[in-house]
Amino acid sequence: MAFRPTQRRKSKEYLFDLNLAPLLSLFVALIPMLLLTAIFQSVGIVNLYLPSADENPAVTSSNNPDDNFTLAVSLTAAELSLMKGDQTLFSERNQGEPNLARLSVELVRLKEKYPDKRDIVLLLDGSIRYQTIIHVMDTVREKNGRELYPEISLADRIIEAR
Amino acid sequence: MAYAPSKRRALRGKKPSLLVLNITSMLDMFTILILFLLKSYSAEGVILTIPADLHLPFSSTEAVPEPGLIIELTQNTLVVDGVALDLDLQEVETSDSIIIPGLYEHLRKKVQRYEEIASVNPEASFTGQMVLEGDRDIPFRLLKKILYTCGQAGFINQSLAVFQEGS
Repeated sequence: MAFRPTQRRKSKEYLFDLNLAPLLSLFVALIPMLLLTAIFQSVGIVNLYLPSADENPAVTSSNNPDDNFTLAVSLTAAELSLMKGDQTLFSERNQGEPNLARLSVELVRLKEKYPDKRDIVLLLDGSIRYQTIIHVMDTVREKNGRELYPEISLADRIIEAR
Repeated sequence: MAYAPSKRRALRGKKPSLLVLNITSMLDMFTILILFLLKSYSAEGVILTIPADLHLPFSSTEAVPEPGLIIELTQNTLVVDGVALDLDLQEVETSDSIIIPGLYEHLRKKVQRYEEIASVNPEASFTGQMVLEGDRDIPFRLLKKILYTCGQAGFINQSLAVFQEGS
Protein backbone atom coordinates (compact mmCIF):
# COMPACT_ATOMS: atom_id res chain seq x y z
CA MET A 1 0.00 0.00 0.00
CA ALA A 2 1.21 3.46 -0.91
CA PHE A 3 1.84 6.04 1.71
CA ARG A 4 -0.85 8.54 2.42
CA PRO A 5 -0.20 11.76 0.47
CA THR A 6 1.15 14.58 2.56
CA GLN A 7 -1.35 16.91 4.12
CA ARG A 8 0.98 19.86 4.13
CA ARG A 9 -0.34 21.52 0.98
CA LYS A 10 -3.90 20.98 1.95
CA SER A 11 -3.67 22.74 5.27
CA LYS A 12 -5.71 25.90 4.95
CA GLU A 13 -3.79 28.98 3.91
CA TYR A 14 -5.19 32.18 5.20
CA LEU A 15 -4.60 35.01 2.79
CA PHE A 16 -4.11 37.90 5.12
CA ASP A 17 -5.20 41.18 3.58
CA LEU A 18 -4.96 44.42 5.52
CA ASN A 19 -7.93 46.64 4.88
CA LEU A 20 -6.36 49.84 3.64
CA ALA A 21 -9.55 51.50 2.41
CA PRO A 22 -9.97 53.88 5.41
CA LEU A 23 -6.37 54.97 5.09
CA LEU A 24 -6.94 55.59 1.41
CA SER A 25 -9.94 57.79 2.06
CA LEU A 26 -7.95 59.76 4.62
CA PHE A 27 -5.19 60.33 2.08
CA VAL A 28 -7.65 61.36 -0.59
CA ALA A 29 -8.95 64.05 1.75
CA LEU A 30 -5.50 65.15 2.94
CA ILE A 31 -3.78 65.46 -0.42
CA PRO A 32 -6.03 68.16 -1.92
CA MET A 33 -5.91 70.09 1.34
CA LEU A 34 -2.10 70.04 1.47
CA LEU A 35 -1.86 70.79 -2.23
CA LEU A 36 -3.92 73.92 -1.70
CA THR A 37 -1.81 75.16 1.21
CA ALA A 38 1.56 74.09 -0.19
CA ILE A 39 4.06 76.82 -0.99
CA PHE A 40 6.44 75.71 -3.66
CA GLN A 41 8.36 78.95 -4.00
CA SER A 42 8.77 80.52 -0.61
CA VAL A 43 9.14 84.26 -0.39
CA GLY A 44 11.54 85.86 2.02
CA ILE A 45 12.63 89.42 2.63
CA VAL A 46 15.87 91.35 2.81
CA ASN A 47 15.79 94.20 5.27
CA LEU A 48 17.15 97.63 4.47
CA TYR A 49 18.42 100.05 7.05
CA LEU A 50 17.77 103.70 6.51
CA PRO A 51 19.76 106.10 8.60
CA SER A 52 17.19 108.37 10.22
CA ALA A 53 17.46 112.09 9.62
CA ASP A 54 18.07 113.11 13.22
CA GLU A 55 20.87 110.62 13.65
CA ASN A 56 24.46 111.48 12.97
CA PRO A 57 25.40 109.20 10.10
CA ALA A 58 28.97 108.91 11.33
CA VAL A 59 27.82 107.27 14.57
CA THR A 60 27.42 103.56 14.07
CA SER A 61 25.32 101.08 16.01
CA SER A 62 28.44 99.75 17.67
CA ASN A 63 29.68 101.32 20.91
CA ASN A 64 33.25 100.37 20.21
CA PRO A 65 35.23 103.54 19.31
CA ASP A 66 37.38 101.52 16.91
CA ASP A 67 34.31 100.94 14.74
CA ASN A 68 33.75 104.60 14.04
CA PHE A 69 34.41 104.46 10.33
CA THR A 70 32.33 104.03 7.22
CA LEU A 71 32.58 100.73 5.48
CA ALA A 72 31.46 100.86 1.88
CA VAL A 73 31.21 98.52 -1.05
CA SER A 74 31.21 100.31 -4.36
CA LEU A 75 29.89 98.60 -7.44
CA THR A 76 29.79 99.93 -10.96
CA ALA A 77 29.30 98.06 -14.19
CA ALA A 78 33.08 97.88 -14.53
CA GLU A 79 34.46 97.64 -11.03
CA LEU A 80 33.88 96.27 -7.53
CA SER A 81 35.73 97.79 -4.61
CA LEU A 82 35.69 97.75 -0.82
CA MET A 83 36.46 100.90 1.08
CA LYS A 84 37.11 101.64 4.75
CA GLY A 85 36.79 105.35 5.20
CA ASP A 86 38.97 106.92 2.52
CA GLN A 87 41.14 103.89 2.17
CA THR A 88 40.45 101.39 -0.62
CA LEU A 89 40.99 97.87 0.68
CA PHE A 90 40.60 96.15 -2.63
CA SER A 91 39.40 96.96 -6.08
CA GLU A 92 38.87 94.64 -8.96
CA ARG A 93 37.56 94.92 -12.50
CA ASN A 94 34.48 92.81 -13.19
CA GLN A 95 34.81 89.94 -15.56
CA GLY A 96 31.17 89.85 -16.52
CA GLU A 97 29.86 89.36 -12.99
CA PRO A 98 31.51 91.07 -10.00
CA ASN A 99 33.93 88.88 -8.04
CA LEU A 100 31.79 88.39 -4.94
CA ALA A 101 33.90 85.49 -3.63
CA ARG A 102 36.86 87.85 -3.26
CA LEU A 103 34.65 90.46 -1.55
CA SER A 104 33.44 87.82 0.88
CA VAL A 105 37.00 86.84 1.83
CA GLU A 106 37.95 90.47 2.42
CA LEU A 107 34.83 91.10 4.53
CA VAL A 108 35.50 88.07 6.72
CA ARG A 109 39.06 89.31 7.28
CA LEU A 110 37.73 92.75 8.23
CA LYS A 111 35.09 91.24 10.51
CA GLU A 112 37.81 89.46 12.47
CA LYS A 113 39.58 92.78 12.99
CA TYR A 114 36.41 94.69 13.95
CA PRO A 115 33.95 92.11 15.31
CA ASP A 116 31.38 94.66 16.56
CA LYS A 117 30.97 96.55 13.31
CA ARG A 118 27.56 95.76 11.84
CA ASP A 119 26.75 98.45 9.31
CA ILE A 120 27.85 98.85 5.73
CA VAL A 121 26.93 101.07 2.81
CA LEU A 122 26.53 99.86 -0.74
CA LEU A 123 27.43 102.51 -3.26
CA LEU A 124 25.79 101.53 -6.49
CA ASP A 125 25.83 102.73 -10.01
CA GLY A 126 22.44 103.50 -11.59
CA SER A 127 22.71 100.74 -14.16
CA ILE A 128 23.18 97.87 -11.68
CA ARG A 129 20.42 95.26 -11.86
CA TYR A 130 18.26 94.54 -8.83
CA GLN A 131 19.28 90.87 -8.85
CA THR A 132 22.96 91.85 -8.66
CA ILE A 133 22.22 94.21 -5.75
CA ILE A 134 20.54 91.34 -3.88
CA HIS A 135 23.55 89.09 -4.55
CA VAL A 136 25.91 91.72 -3.18
CA MET A 137 23.66 92.18 -0.14
CA ASP A 138 23.70 88.42 0.47
CA THR A 139 27.47 88.40 0.27
CA VAL A 140 27.78 91.33 2.66
CA ARG A 141 25.20 90.05 5.14
CA GLU A 142 26.55 86.59 5.84
CA LYS A 143 29.07 83.96 4.97
CA ASN A 144 28.10 80.31 5.50
CA GLY A 145 25.59 81.24 8.18
CA ARG A 146 28.02 83.54 9.97
CA GLU A 147 26.73 87.08 10.29
CA LEU A 148 28.97 89.74 8.75
CA TYR A 149 27.32 93.14 8.20
CA PRO A 150 23.52 92.83 8.45
CA GLU A 151 22.75 96.56 8.61
CA ILE A 152 22.95 97.38 4.94
CA SER A 153 22.05 100.72 3.48
CA LEU A 154 21.96 101.58 -0.18
CA ALA A 155 23.40 104.76 -1.56
CA ASP A 156 23.92 106.32 -4.89
CA ARG A 157 27.49 106.32 -6.05
CA ILE A 158 28.85 109.83 -6.23
CA ILE A 159 30.36 110.37 -9.61
CA GLU A 160 33.91 111.46 -9.02
CA ALA A 161 35.43 114.09 -11.21
CA ARG A 162 38.59 112.68 -12.70
CA MET B 1 1.76 8.44 -6.73
CA ALA B 2 -0.67 10.75 -8.36
CA TYR B 3 -0.36 14.49 -8.17
CA ALA B 4 -2.98 16.49 -6.32
CA PRO B 5 -5.89 16.92 -8.70
CA SER B 6 -6.37 20.28 -10.37
CA LYS B 7 -8.91 22.53 -8.70
CA ARG B 8 -9.92 24.21 -11.92
CA ARG B 9 -12.69 21.84 -12.62
CA ALA B 10 -13.93 21.95 -9.08
CA LEU B 11 -14.01 25.74 -9.02
CA ARG B 12 -15.74 26.11 -12.37
CA GLY B 13 -19.02 27.95 -12.06
CA LYS B 14 -18.34 29.14 -8.55
CA LYS B 15 -18.11 32.93 -8.44
CA PRO B 16 -15.45 34.47 -6.22
CA SER B 17 -17.24 35.70 -3.18
CA LEU B 18 -15.17 38.86 -2.53
CA LEU B 19 -13.22 40.87 -5.07
CA VAL B 20 -10.40 42.74 -3.35
CA LEU B 21 -8.67 45.53 -5.22
CA ASN B 22 -5.00 45.72 -4.40
CA ILE B 23 -4.42 49.31 -3.37
CA THR B 24 -1.11 48.85 -1.56
CA SER B 25 1.01 50.37 -4.30
CA MET B 26 -1.29 53.37 -4.63
CA LEU B 27 -0.99 53.92 -0.90
CA ASP B 28 2.79 53.84 -1.20
CA MET B 29 2.57 56.61 -3.73
CA PHE B 30 0.17 58.61 -1.59
CA THR B 31 2.42 58.28 1.44
CA ILE B 32 5.32 59.75 -0.49
CA LEU B 33 3.10 62.56 -1.77
CA ILE B 34 1.80 63.32 1.71
CA LEU B 35 5.31 63.51 3.13
CA PHE B 36 6.40 65.84 0.36
CA LEU B 37 3.38 68.10 0.79
CA LEU B 38 3.73 68.16 4.57
CA LYS B 39 7.31 69.31 4.10
CA SER B 40 6.21 72.28 2.03
CA TYR B 41 3.25 73.02 4.29
CA SER B 42 3.20 76.45 5.81
CA ALA B 43 1.05 77.18 8.82
CA GLU B 44 1.70 80.93 8.72
CA GLY B 45 -0.27 81.51 5.58
CA VAL B 46 0.74 83.74 2.75
CA ILE B 47 1.34 87.42 3.42
CA LEU B 48 2.73 88.23 0.01
CA THR B 49 1.12 87.09 -3.18
CA ILE B 50 3.38 87.43 -6.16
CA PRO B 51 1.78 88.13 -9.55
CA ALA B 52 2.76 85.72 -12.31
CA ASP B 53 4.51 88.37 -14.39
CA LEU B 54 6.66 89.59 -11.51
CA HIS B 55 10.04 87.86 -11.33
CA LEU B 56 11.57 88.47 -7.92
CA PRO B 57 15.31 88.14 -7.46
CA PHE B 58 16.76 85.11 -5.66
CA SER B 59 18.47 85.46 -2.32
CA SER B 60 19.92 83.30 0.45
CA THR B 61 18.00 85.19 3.15
CA GLU B 62 15.95 83.39 5.77
CA ALA B 63 13.93 86.35 7.04
CA VAL B 64 10.17 86.02 6.59
CA PRO B 65 7.85 88.79 5.36
CA GLU B 66 5.93 90.97 7.78
CA PRO B 67 2.62 92.65 7.00
CA GLY B 68 2.85 96.17 5.70
CA LEU B 69 2.39 98.30 2.63
CA ILE B 70 3.06 96.27 -0.50
CA ILE B 71 4.56 97.88 -3.57
CA GLU B 72 4.76 95.80 -6.72
CA LEU B 73 7.23 97.04 -9.27
CA THR B 74 7.43 95.30 -12.63
CA GLN B 75 9.20 96.48 -15.76
CA ASN B 76 6.41 98.91 -16.67
CA THR B 77 3.84 99.08 -13.86
CA LEU B 78 3.83 100.30 -10.29
CA VAL B 79 1.13 98.91 -8.00
CA VAL B 80 0.66 100.17 -4.45
CA ASP B 81 -1.49 97.93 -2.22
CA GLY B 82 -3.38 96.62 -5.24
CA VAL B 83 -3.94 100.03 -6.85
CA ALA B 84 -2.06 100.59 -10.10
CA LEU B 85 -0.56 104.06 -10.36
CA ASP B 86 -0.72 105.93 -13.61
CA LEU B 87 3.00 106.50 -13.99
CA ASP B 88 5.31 106.15 -16.94
CA LEU B 89 8.25 104.30 -15.41
CA GLN B 90 10.49 105.00 -18.39
CA GLU B 91 10.01 108.68 -17.77
CA VAL B 92 10.54 108.29 -14.03
CA GLU B 93 13.76 106.40 -14.65
CA THR B 94 15.26 109.02 -16.92
CA SER B 95 14.09 112.10 -15.02
CA ASP B 96 16.57 114.06 -12.90
CA SER B 97 14.26 114.31 -9.91
CA ILE B 98 14.95 111.66 -7.27
CA ILE B 99 11.43 111.88 -5.82
CA ILE B 100 8.39 110.63 -7.74
CA PRO B 101 5.55 113.16 -7.18
CA GLY B 102 2.67 110.84 -8.19
CA LEU B 103 3.84 108.09 -5.85
CA TYR B 104 4.67 110.54 -3.05
CA GLU B 105 1.17 112.05 -2.97
CA HIS B 106 -0.45 108.62 -3.05
CA LEU B 107 1.72 107.44 -0.15
CA ARG B 108 1.15 110.60 1.90
CA LYS B 109 -2.60 109.97 1.73
CA LYS B 110 -2.01 106.43 2.94
CA VAL B 111 0.19 107.60 5.80
CA GLN B 112 -2.46 110.15 6.84
CA ARG B 113 -5.09 107.41 6.86
CA TYR B 114 -2.82 105.15 8.95
CA GLU B 115 -2.14 107.99 11.38
CA GLU B 116 -5.85 108.75 11.73
CA ILE B 117 -6.46 105.11 12.59
CA ALA B 118 -3.53 105.15 15.01
CA SER B 119 -4.91 108.24 16.79
CA VAL B 120 -8.17 106.39 17.50
CA ASN B 121 -6.77 102.96 18.13
CA PRO B 122 -3.40 103.01 19.89
CA GLU B 123 -2.88 99.31 19.18
CA ALA B 124 -2.78 99.93 15.43
CA SER B 125 0.21 102.24 15.50
CA PHE B 126 1.84 103.19 12.24
CA THR B 127 5.24 101.54 11.95
CA GLY B 128 6.15 102.55 8.42
CA GLN B 129 6.55 98.92 7.42
CA MET B 130 6.66 98.30 3.68
CA VAL B 131 7.68 95.51 1.34
CA LEU B 132 8.92 96.15 -2.17
CA GLU B 133 8.31 93.36 -4.67
CA GLY B 134 10.57 94.33 -7.50
CA ASP B 135 11.39 92.68 -10.79
CA ARG B 136 14.93 91.26 -10.81
CA ASP B 137 15.88 93.21 -13.94
CA ILE B 138 15.04 96.75 -12.84
CA PRO B 139 18.05 99.05 -12.60
CA PHE B 140 19.20 100.71 -9.39
CA ARG B 141 18.40 104.22 -10.63
CA LEU B 142 14.68 103.33 -10.65
CA LEU B 143 14.81 101.31 -7.43
CA LYS B 144 16.54 104.17 -5.64
CA LYS B 145 13.82 106.66 -6.61
CA ILE B 146 11.03 104.34 -5.43
CA LEU B 147 12.75 103.61 -2.10
CA TYR B 148 13.64 107.26 -1.56
CA THR B 149 10.07 108.39 -2.26
CA CYS B 150 8.70 105.78 0.14
CA GLY B 151 11.18 106.85 2.79
CA GLN B 152 10.25 110.52 2.37
CA ALA B 153 6.54 109.68 2.61
CA GLY B 154 7.08 107.96 5.97
CA PHE B 155 7.65 104.30 5.12
CA ILE B 156 10.99 103.87 6.80
CA ASN B 157 10.99 100.17 7.63
CA GLN B 158 11.75 99.00 4.15
CA SER B 159 12.29 95.46 3.09
CA LEU B 160 12.75 93.83 -0.28
CA ALA B 161 10.81 90.71 -1.22
CA VAL B 162 12.90 87.91 -2.71
CA PHE B 163 12.54 84.24 -3.62
CA GLN B 164 14.40 82.04 -1.19
CA GLU B 165 17.03 79.90 -2.82
CA GLY B 166 17.11 76.16 -2.31
CA SER B 167 13.84 75.85 -0.43
